Amino acid sequence: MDTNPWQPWSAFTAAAPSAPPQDLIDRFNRLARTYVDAVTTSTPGTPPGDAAQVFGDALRDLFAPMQPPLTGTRAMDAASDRPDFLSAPPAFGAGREHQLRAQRQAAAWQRLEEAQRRLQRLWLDALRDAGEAFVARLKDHPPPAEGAAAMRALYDTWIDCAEDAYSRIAHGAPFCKAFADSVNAASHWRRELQVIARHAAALPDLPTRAELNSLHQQLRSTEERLRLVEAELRAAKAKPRRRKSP
Amino acid sequence: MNDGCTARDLVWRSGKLALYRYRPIARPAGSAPVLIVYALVNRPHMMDLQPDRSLIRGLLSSGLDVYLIDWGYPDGADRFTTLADYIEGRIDGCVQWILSAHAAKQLTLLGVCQGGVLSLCYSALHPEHVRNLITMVTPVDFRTPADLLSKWVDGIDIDAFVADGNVSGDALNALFVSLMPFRLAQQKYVHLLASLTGTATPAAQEALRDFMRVEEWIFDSPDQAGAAFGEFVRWFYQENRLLQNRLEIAGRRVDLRDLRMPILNLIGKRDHLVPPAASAALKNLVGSDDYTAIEFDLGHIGMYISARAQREVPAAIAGWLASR
Repeated sequence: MDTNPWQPWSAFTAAAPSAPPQDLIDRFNRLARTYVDAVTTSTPGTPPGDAAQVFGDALRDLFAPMQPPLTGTRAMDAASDRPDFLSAPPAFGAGREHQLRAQRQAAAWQRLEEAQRRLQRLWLDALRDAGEAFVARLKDHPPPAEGAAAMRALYDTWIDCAEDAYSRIAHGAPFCKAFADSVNAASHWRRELQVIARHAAALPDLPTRAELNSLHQQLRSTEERLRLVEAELRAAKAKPRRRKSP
Repeated sequence: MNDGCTARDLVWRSGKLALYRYRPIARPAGSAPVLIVYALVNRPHMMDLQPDRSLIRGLLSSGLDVYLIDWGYPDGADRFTTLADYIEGRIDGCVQWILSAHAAKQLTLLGVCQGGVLSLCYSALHPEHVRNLITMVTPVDFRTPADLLSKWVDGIDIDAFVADGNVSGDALNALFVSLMPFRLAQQKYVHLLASLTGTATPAAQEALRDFMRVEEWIFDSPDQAGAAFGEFVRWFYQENRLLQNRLEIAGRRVDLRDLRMPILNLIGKRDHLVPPAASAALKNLVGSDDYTAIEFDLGHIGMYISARAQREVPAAIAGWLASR
């Protein structure tokens, strides 16, 4: 038996400090250790319900910031630092169009943030359900108290509960709508950003995406016509020639 | 960069597309050449990841003559490339090259995942070129209850999303991870770390290399040509046109009843990306009297690289082809 049952688990996590979930594992280890200590030191015959509840609640908090990768990008985070154009005064004069563009972009950003918040709330709902399912499982089947295998079993149980709860929420209409709203809001925000970039590019006479797209389309159209002509030529060559009548 | 492990020759190139022919490693079985059409959303070397995890090597061992399409990495110049370009231009170009090289009239198409969808379309439009059709983890009904992707994309304004640009492979990776975020962004790495406990054994190091090969493949995702991506999402996921017999490619109706050739449909029973029911729907749509479906107790990626897949999938394909 290990003198310290947590040592093997901690040892392998420490072996790979750059692994993505390292910090999360460390924090999971501390929570799990507290839970198992509480279970093993409780009076025999006393249900470890409170400890399980505390463990489940802590896991919900621990995973709350994880959220699905789609909800938020670095580019968007960076863009959120720009000035608040929405509260600017009405647009007049020579700067009017510039201000309107900035305001439209700010409004699009606001819409995106709202959509992301709706997704985030549903993510937290999934974690709440996961926590409840996890606590119920621990109450029914407290894990063996020792060894790295027990820690891993606890972790896998949590993941099973979390994935099941997330799947139920993710298949539901509210999540699907929030997801689509979020993607559509991001598309809208990007379009407004492109408008601003196009105007900025015009000043030093840089080519814009719209100009390049136009050239691409013309090239495609030319290639298509060329293919048709080539096909006609091949067909004409393949046809047997009529002999001239004498 | 891993491009596969089995010896092969580049036999034809068209733009970014490369057509490879694999060198034989067994006595020829005498079957029609096999053209593997992989998905656009990932790199095709998953078919030949490493010597002990290679569908292609399994097929070669059975004496099959194997070709593979590598679509390349689309860039900004490909943003207006359509599904018609892929199906009528690129797949047809490969088919014509192979038929010409073999002085043959027909070949076997093996379509994988999204490549299976493209293969279904091509085979319905050009049945005269396809002697046998094999689909692997291929969706046909895009609106089955277990299909989370279809539910998510239902309300997306796909024109605004594509917006005359390409679609980033990174965005697609994030989407796929979001389908099972706890397992795909957390648990698999924790399990990897657990498997490395105290480890400098050759077996552990090899396991780590195996893991990293798959990891590299998963996240080596080409950007998607915008127009084709938009068509794929709208026509297949949002409108389910293939199932409803409403799909047109380059102005021609894709009618699955025109698939009268022998068909083998390989389904992963634990596939979270292409639910089994999404693939199994093919049975009632085709005109073929010779339809076989085989379900494997595997997930989407497991169908390519699991040890069980190595034992069962190539043998199932070769056995099925041998009698046709």
